[in-house]
This record gives sequence, C-alpha cells and structure tokens, in this order.
Amino acid sequence: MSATHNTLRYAAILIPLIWACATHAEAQDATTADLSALLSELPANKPDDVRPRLLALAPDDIRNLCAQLHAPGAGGDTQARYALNGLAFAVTAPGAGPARARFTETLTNILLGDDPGPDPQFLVAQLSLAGNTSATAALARLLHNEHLCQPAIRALLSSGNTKAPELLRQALPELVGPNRVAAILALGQLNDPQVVPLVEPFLTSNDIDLRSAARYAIARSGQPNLKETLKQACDATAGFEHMRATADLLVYARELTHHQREDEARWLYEDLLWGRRKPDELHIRCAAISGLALDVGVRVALDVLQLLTDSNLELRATAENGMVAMAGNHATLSCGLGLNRTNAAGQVAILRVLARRGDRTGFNIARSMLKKPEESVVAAALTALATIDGTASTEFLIERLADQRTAVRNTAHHLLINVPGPETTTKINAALAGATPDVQPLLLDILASRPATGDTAPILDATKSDDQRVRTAAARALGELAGPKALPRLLDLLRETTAENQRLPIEHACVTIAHRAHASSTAADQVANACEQTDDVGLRCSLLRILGQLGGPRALNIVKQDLQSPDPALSEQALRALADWPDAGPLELAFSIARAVSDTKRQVLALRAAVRMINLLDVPAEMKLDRFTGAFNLAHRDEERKLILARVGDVINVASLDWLYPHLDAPNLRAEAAAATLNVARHLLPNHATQVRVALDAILLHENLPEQLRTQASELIAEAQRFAGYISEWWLAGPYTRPGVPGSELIDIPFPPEQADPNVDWHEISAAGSPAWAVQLHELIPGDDRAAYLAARIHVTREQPALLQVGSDDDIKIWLNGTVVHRNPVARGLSADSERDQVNVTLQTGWNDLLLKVINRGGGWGAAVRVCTPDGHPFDDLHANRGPQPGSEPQPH
Amino acid sequence: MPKSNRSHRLTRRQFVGRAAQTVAAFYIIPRHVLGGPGYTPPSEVITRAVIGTGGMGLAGHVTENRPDAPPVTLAVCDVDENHLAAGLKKAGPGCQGYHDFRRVLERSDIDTVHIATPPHWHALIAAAAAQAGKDILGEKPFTRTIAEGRILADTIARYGRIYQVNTHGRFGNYYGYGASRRLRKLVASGLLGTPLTARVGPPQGFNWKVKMWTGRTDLVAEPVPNALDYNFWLGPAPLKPYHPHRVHSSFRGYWDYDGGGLSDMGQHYLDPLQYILGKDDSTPTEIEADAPWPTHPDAVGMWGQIRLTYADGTRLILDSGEWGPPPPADAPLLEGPLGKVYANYRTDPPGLFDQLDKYPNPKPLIDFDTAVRTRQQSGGNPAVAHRSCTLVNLANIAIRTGRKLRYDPQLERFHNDEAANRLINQPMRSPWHL
Repeated sequence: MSATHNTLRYAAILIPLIWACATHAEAQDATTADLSALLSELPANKPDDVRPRLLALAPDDIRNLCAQLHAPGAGGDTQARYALNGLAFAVTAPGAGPARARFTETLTNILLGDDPGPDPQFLVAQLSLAGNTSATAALARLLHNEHLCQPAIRALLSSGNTKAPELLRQALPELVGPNRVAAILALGQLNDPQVVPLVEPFLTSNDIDLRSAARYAIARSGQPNLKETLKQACDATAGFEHMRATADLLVYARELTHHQREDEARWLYEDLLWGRRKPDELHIRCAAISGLALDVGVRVALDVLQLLTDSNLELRATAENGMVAMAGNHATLSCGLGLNRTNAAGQVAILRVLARRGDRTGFNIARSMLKKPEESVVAAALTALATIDGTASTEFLIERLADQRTAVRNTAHHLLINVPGPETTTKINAALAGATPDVQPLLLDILASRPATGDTAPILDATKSDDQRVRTAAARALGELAGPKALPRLLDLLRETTAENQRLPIEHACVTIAHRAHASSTAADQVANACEQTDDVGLRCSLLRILGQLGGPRALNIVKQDLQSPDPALSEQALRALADWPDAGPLELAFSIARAVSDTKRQVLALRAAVRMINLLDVPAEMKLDRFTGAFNLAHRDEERKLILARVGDVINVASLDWLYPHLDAPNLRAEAAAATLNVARHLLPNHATQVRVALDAILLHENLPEQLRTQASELIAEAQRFAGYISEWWLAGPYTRPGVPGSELIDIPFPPEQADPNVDWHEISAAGSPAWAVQLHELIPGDDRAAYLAARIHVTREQPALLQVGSDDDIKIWLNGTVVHRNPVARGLSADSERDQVNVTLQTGWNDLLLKVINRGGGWGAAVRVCTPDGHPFDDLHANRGPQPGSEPQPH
Repeated sequence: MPKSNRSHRLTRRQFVGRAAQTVAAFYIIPRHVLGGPGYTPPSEVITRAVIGTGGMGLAGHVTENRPDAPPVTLAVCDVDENHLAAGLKKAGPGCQGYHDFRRVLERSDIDTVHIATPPHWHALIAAAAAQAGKDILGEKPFTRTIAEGRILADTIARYGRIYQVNTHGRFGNYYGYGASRRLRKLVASGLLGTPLTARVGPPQGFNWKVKMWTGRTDLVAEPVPNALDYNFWLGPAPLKPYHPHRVHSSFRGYWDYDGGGLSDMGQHYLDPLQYILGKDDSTPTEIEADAPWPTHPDAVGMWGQIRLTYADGTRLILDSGEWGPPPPADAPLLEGPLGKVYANYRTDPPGLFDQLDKYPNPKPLIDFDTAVRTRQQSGGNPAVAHRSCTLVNLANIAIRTGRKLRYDPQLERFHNDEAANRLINQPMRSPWHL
C-alpha cells in the first residue's frame, strides 16, 4: 500500500507539471492573471460576485483550469476544483447556453485528446452535471476506456440523453467485468426494450453480479413473455440473490403495466400472491397485493377488497393501503360494489378505505351505508362521511344523535365535537331550535366542546326551553362559550329555577363567565344587584354562592349584611360564601365569627373559612403558622384540629416541622400530624436534610402509627441520607455557545460568568430533576454544544479541608473562590455513584464562592456536587445554598 | 441460508404480530402468566440486526443481550473489523458478526434491521431489508438523495414493511417549545393565522453544526487501514482515494456520503416541524440559500441562511449563525399574522396554548415497536421521513447550485434547472443500484 501511495504522490506532482508544460503558450497570456485573481476569490460570499466571470471564461481559461488539476488524492488543486465545479453548475442556468457549449466542448476535447490530464474522472463528473448533447460523443468513446467507462455511464444516465441506450448497447459487446455489469445495469435503469437478447445469455453466468444485472435489465425492459425466463432465473437462486430475483419479478410485473400489459402483470402478481405461501414470504405476497392495487388497478379492485377480511394482519393492512393508494375515481366506485359483497367486518374495512381515500365520490357511498342495521357499519360510515367532508356530514351526524344504538350515537357525538371549522358550528347552532328535547342537550354539549364562534343566540334561546334538561345544558354551554352579555339571561334563568340542584350548573356558568371575562367586578356587580333586588331566600342563597366565588368589596358587604339575617338559611349561606372566598380579605371577619358564635355548626363553618383563607395569605410562613395557632386554639373539636394540621402540612417550611412536632404526642391527632410532617419533609428535601431527619425520627418513635406512615418516614430518611451534602439550589447562567465550535472544545473558552461580568443574567434554579440531587440542565436549557454556569456558596465555621464529589454530563470546570480547582474534559453521563470526580479543596472560614462550568457535547446535560469531609462523610456544620446573586455583593467572608 | 433449509412454520415476527392481534381482540394476558415476573418469552421479543456499528450504531442500536433473557440483538454487521468487534462485545451472547449486510438479511430469525451506516448506504440497505421482509429502524437522514428517498418510500410501502426514521422529535418535546403534538394542535387551530413563518437557528435554540461538519478540501491520500474494507465502505459512492477524514466520525463533510450539518441535524429539527406545520405530505416550492459559492465538488462547506417557501406561503427560515450576517436575536419559532410562539411556552398574545382545549387533538403517533406489532404506520414512516429529508436535500442543492430553485412537490423535480435535477438522482457506482 505504501508503494502505491508514493507512486500516487509522485504522479500527483509530476503529471500536472509535464502536462502543463505541454499546453499552449497562450495559456500564459494576460487571461492567466485574470484567472488567478478569480480563483483567489473562490468561494465568494455571493454567487453573483464570481458567476458572471466564470461564465465568461474562454476555452483556454477552462483548459488552464483543467491543467491545474492534480491526481485524485494528491491535493494542491482546491481552487481549480472550486472553479470547475462552479462552472458546471453555472452553465446550466437559463441563458447560459453559449457558456455551456464552451465548457462541454472544452472538457470533451480534453477527455478525447492525447492527454486527458491526471484526473479525467473529475472532468467526467463535471460533464455529468453540465453535459448536454454535445458531450454524448465523447462519453460514448469513454465507454471503451477501462478506467473512465463507469464514470461515463453515470454521466450518460444523468444526462437523460435519448441516445444513451443505443450507445450503451453498441459498447456492450466490448465491455468486460465490472464495466459490462455497469452498462447492463444502466440499460436496465433506462428501461431499454432492446437489451433482452443481449443479456439473456448472462442469466446463467457464474458471475453473480453479471447474472443479477442481466436479470434486472430484463425485468426493467418490460418486454412481453419473459415471465418464465425470469421465474426460472429466480428459481435457480438462493439466499440474498433469491430475494433480489424475486424483487426483479415484481419489478417486471410493474414494468409490464407501463407497457399496457396489465393482464400479464396481473397473472404474475397473482402467481406470487397465491404461489408464495411460505411463512417467510409474506412480504412477497404483500408486494404482490400492492402491485395489483397500484399497477393493475381498478380491474382487480374487488379482489383486493376481498383481502381486507383475510385472516392475516399484514395482508389486510397491505390490501387496505393498496386500496387507499389505488388511482382513479373508479377505485372508489369499486369500493361501493365491494360493500355489497362482503360481511360487516369487510364493510367497516371498506368504509375505512373510503375515509382514507377522501374523494367526494366516497361520500355518497358511505352515506348509503347509514341504513345498515349493524351499528359498527353505521359508525364507520359516519366516520367516513366526517373525514371526507366534515361540513357536509354535519346533518347526517346530527340525525344520528337520535339513534337508539349507543355506538352510533356516541360516534356521531364524538365526530361532531371534532369535525373542524366554524361552518360545522354554524350548522349545529342552526339545528338546535328544531331538534327534539332529547337531542338538544347533546347538541348543546357538542357546542360547549367546540371552539367559540361568538354566536350564542341559539343557546340563549335554548335557556328558555320548557325542558329542564335543555335549560341546564344551555347554561353549561353558555358558561363555556359566552361573554358577560349572557350573564343577565343566566341570572334570569336562575330566577326561573327553583330547585337548588338545577341552579348549581347555572351558578357555575355565571362564575365561569365572570372569570373568563376578566371583568369579575362588573359581573359581581350584576350578581350583587340581583341579590339586592330579590326577597326570595332560595334565589338569594344561590346568588350568595356566586358572590362567594367572585369576591370583591360589594359582595363582602352583602355577605356581612346577610350574616346578620334573621333567616337562618340566609345567614348560614353567607357564612358558607366566606369559605369559598377567592382571597384572604375576610380572614379577620371569619376569625371574629369563630370567636363570637356559640352555635357549634356556625363556629365550625367560620373556622373552616378562616383556615382556608390562612393558606391564601401572602405572608412569611412563620406568620401563617401564627394564624394557624390562633385557629387551633379556637377549635373545639378534633375534626377542625385535624383540618388545621393538614393545612399546616401545605406550608413548606422548616418552621412547620417545629409547629407540627408537639402534636405528634397527641394520640388523637398523631396520624394527621405525622402525615402533615411527611408532606412538609418530602417537599423540603433535598435541602434541610438535618431538620427533616429530626422530624422523621420523631415520627418513627411512635410505634402505633399506621404502618403506611412509618414506611413513608423510613423511605424519606433514606432519601435524606442520599441528599446529605448535595448542593441543591443554584444560580444558573447560560447557555453559551460559540458558532462552529463543538462542545468538546468549549471548556477553555471563557464566557462572561467566568470573567466576573456584572451583566450576566443569573436565574435561580433548584435541583428538582430526577434524581433530585442533580441539576438537569437539558430540561432547563436544552441544546447541544453549549456551556452553562452554576454558582452557589458554601459556609463553614472554620477553615478546613473538604472533598467535592462531582458528577457531570459532560465536561466540567470548577472555581472555588475564584481559583480553578478542577478541570475534566469528558463525555459522560451523570451518576451519583460512579464516575464522580473527587476534588480536594480547602474551605475558608465563612462563605466560599463555588462556580461550575458544565458543557454539553450532546444529549443529556447536568451536574451534581456533594460537599463532604475528606473521608467522604457529611459535614455537621456546613451550609451550602444559592446565596446572594453572584457579583451582586462582595464576597461575604 | 439456502431456500430449501427454510422452515415452513410461522416466522417469529408473524407470531409476534398474531399474538398482538389475539391479545388486542380478546384479553390481555398477564405477563406473569406468560413467563414469570419480568420474563419476556422469546416469542414476544422483536429481534434486531444492527448494520453499521460505529458511533451511532454502537451507542444507539446495539443492545446488550442479557444471559437470563432471550437475545434481542442477533446480528451486528460492519465493514470495519474494529467496529464489528465493538458491536459484538457490546451485544454479548447470542449475537453473530457479519461483514456483508446481505448475509444478515438472509436470516429468517431477525425481525428488524437497524441501519446506522453513513447515509450513502441508507436507501440500498433499507430497500434490500424490505425485500427480505424485515421491518426497519433507519438512522437519519432518511436517504442521501431525493430520488433514493422516493424509491425507498415506495419500496417499503409496496412490501408492507414498517419503517421508522430514528428521530423522535414529533413524538415528544420540540426542543423546549412544548410537545410537538401540542404545537401541531396550535397550528391546526388557526390561532396563529396563516401563512406561518418558522425559524430554526441559534436564536431559537438550534445548532446546525455547520462548521463542525464541513469537509476538508486539502485531503492527501493515505493508506487504507487493514481493519477497513474501504471499497465496501464506499459501496455506491464514487471511488476516491482513502483519507481518514472521509470515513467514520467525519464522513458528513463530504457530498458523496452525506450533506454536512444540514443532514446531521436536519431531520431532527425539520421532521417535527413538517408535522407541526401540517406539511407531512408536502414540500416547499421555492428554495434559496445564502452560502459561499461555488461549493467544493467534494467537501461540504458553510452556509448562512436557507429560505424554503411552501405553495401556500408557509416559510421555513434556517439560520446557521456561523456564516454571514447574524440572524435576528428575538425572532420567534413560529410567527403568523395572529400570533407568535417563543420558547418556554411563551406566546404573543399570551396564553394561546390555554385556548386549545376545544380543538380536536391530532391523531396519536405510533412508535416503532407498536407499529411492528400492529402493522399500522409508525409516526416517522417512510412517507413523512422522505418529505422531511427532502427539505435537507433541497437546501443542499440550493447551496450547491447557488441559485433560487423552484420545485414541484408532486413530480419531485425542479422547474427548469437541469443541474439541480441531476442532483436529485445521482447514479450509483456499479454493481449497486436501487
């Protein structure tokens, strides 16, 4: 190999020199200087900067360029190759005919000359891009060149020259070996009909490439009466060649149809379909079905349709796909015929074909199936109708909403929801008034599930129906679709309705509209007006329920007023309204009632309202806990105490653990206190592992707690142990990229965070991914070939050595107090236990600044840092957290 | 294997398919009844052969056969002995190594073929696998040329095979912009208006790796390593002197085998986008590229921006950010007359995603394994994979020709551009052909 290599290198140097010396002296004239200048500009920023000059090159310039080529693999001729390839593309542009002629003729002259240069294959490749008919003669001659024959064949194939088959046939008798194979394959690709007698003798050749090429060319010829020839050739093969020979049979069948010999093709396809019954020939049968459907077409449509009920899934699927792809309206009509000749399963399959075909002819065919008794068929017909023409199918779908068969009704309902377009909505709206009371609720439900069109008049009309089901459905639909203008009608409807359970959906609609309108105060005013204007206690209670969910000062005044009502129903409903209040505004009111009333029921209601509102307060956790303490002291029953404990469990703070701790000793409340503690602890991890551990240990002290709670506590303790020492809250900056630079080269490219740039955009993040101790950067700032920075601070009470256990995906670099303490360019995944870097550092007294640079080369991206003693144990007195934003204040030592 | 030695029983995949049918039709058989907890009976395993066990094949396709379970990877194949050895080592017991993919395809116990070769082999091997009755998981790009793509898509369809291109963006989250299916729903809802413009570049969080995958124009031939069958590696590609930069981890930089960063990342980025835009059955009709020109005939070079426009005015703008003027920093991923979509679910006007409840959900996409068992089209089937790969090839052809191109999505030909059309169908080196 090295000798060959040296020969090539010498040849690369000498041949161009000798050849260049032999060229005409005119290549040395002034155009040479212009050409050099042009070459120096390649490639240009814009094609038009150089294209006109390339197109203007004279034949001598082109010869000059060709003279600059070296042997393949010798190098040193880059600019000439740029220019010649650019010219090959440029000359094929409209209007570049003369330049194309110059280029083609020059290249062919060189190729046919005494010395075609050191890389004639390259010149042939340029001709394959740009060559026109004037290149044909040259390419024909090159077919006889042992080394250039195959490039010339490829150029002829590319050219689309109609003379190519003839030229290849003429050359064929003289070609041998791989060149002969290439020529035969090319004749096949050109579908040459005259190739058959030339290559038929090769079918029994011992050269597998030659006989395979001959088989392929014969198949592609599409000439009649060759089936037996190809079948015999196929039968004589085995293994991979047998697969290809079978493929040639299928190709032949397809080519027959291109020559209008569909009967012959059909015979061959059916022979393969029914003759190849071995289990591992199923795909051949599939291909035969596809051929029948796609190539023979409608005349075998009924046969293909029959296969839709075949017991074999692959054959069924292929038949369906074939029928979907079968060309022509007659194929759709054949589906109509097929529907009458098959069972219900077959009809469903044909209707699926019609749906997938999507042509309008299928619409009427599917429509005719709506009368069938089988619900599966009718459902499939409805699906086909909706798929082919959603809008036109609307009326049929609406009709079927009254069908007694559940599957049909449900299908129609589902389709009406999902048929896209406002036209369908308009049709459903139009049908609403004329529909029966049984169907109207369904139509209203469908309308409620479709995008709003702004036309709610029919729905408003439906609220006036005599049928309560219709009124309720209309209210629901208005809630989904209507704006504030519908509110007066809903309030009227509320007035017209007496049963509380019928009022609830109307109330819900009022609240939904008010919230969606972003004008709840206006809506609340309307409700408040209605409330003030009624003496009906039931209606006023209903309106209080709405006001309680809308809130606002006017609503609160009404609630306060009704709290004093002598009517117990009204005053109780006012109290219940407080329990739904959207903010904590009436908290003091609820507390004052809880303190003042003697009636147990009212005290409980007020207390529950207060407890709910405490969690809505936007105050520090400690203040919330104070309020819970107050509520707890007011509670007379364990039920309310348990409720309060559960609410405290939603306050995710270390102080909550302390608050709950003493209640673990109360036998009646222990389980609730433990459950609340577990919830707080679960959310506090991975931070505060020490405090969490103390609280969980306290739970485990109580052996009579439900086993489930004890198990959860044990699991969380194990989790806390895993988190011990991991930094879980970080500042994040990035991503940073450098165009064209892969991730593997980014580790030493400085980006602003490592340059103490005060303008870095830092974001707070927590290690909340999975695993929880890791920062999963690919979920936060996805992308490959980029860097990100993570910053945190570590506090120790005295200077001491420490070990940083570092996992990263991928490369990582670490600074501690501004000094690089670790650098590991590596592509790896993130793991807690393996492949961690061990970095020994010294922590200074007070706060230490930690900065990580994490690179993503591709795929996953993340990092994890555990701070521990040099022997790998957690510190007792260490705090590691996000701290103040990097650069926002001096390092707090 | 000689034909006469083949068994007449059901093939394994047929059994798997039938089992799936039976289970779906009647009841779900508990796993423990079939084979104990955690046990997968051999009849339920979808076996595979991995052809091409270099970086991607080894990392992404060769599974480690467990001694306590039926083997999954039954065969690995590579023309580089070192790659083959690595594949065999990773697969472990139950896996056989091959030099020639044709021998792999002769095995009847292999259900699926994973193709992780360089792209100049994709169409040939996938078509042969289809003709051998295998289902196929193919690495992206789908094919190296548009014509190869059309032939391959048709071949797979005709033989009733299942194919999935190995990019899964349409199944999941679209690069931080939310689930592709949800974005598809947003576009289909019309809330953004039409026509839409989609931008894919560094400001939107995409890295085209243009420079990374450029080829070298100064290659000087080197001896072929003993472990590599270079002639087989080239296969249908023109014969050119060996250089290590042509093969293995840097082949993307050469037109004969691939198409640079566009081909590497194109289907990852654009296949989901075609789906999101509802263009799975279509292709742009106008293509323009800003790139240095002329291109080198062998080595893939740089580009700055590529603009692809569909017949309905929908536009794709691809920005590399690595050449030419920098792309606009604040451009959204999707922009229509009525709304824009930015990263992190941000929309303008705000809350567009919250309005989608009442719009129909797009059809669920079926993954490869489910498709193999049920014979339904997978989400990344050949028809859509060919269309999204066509975007990549159109862009590269626009770069190479240096002119605005007009394309007929039905005929899959350029209007009035002979050279561009010649790049659609590039004849293979004999004896390879489709």
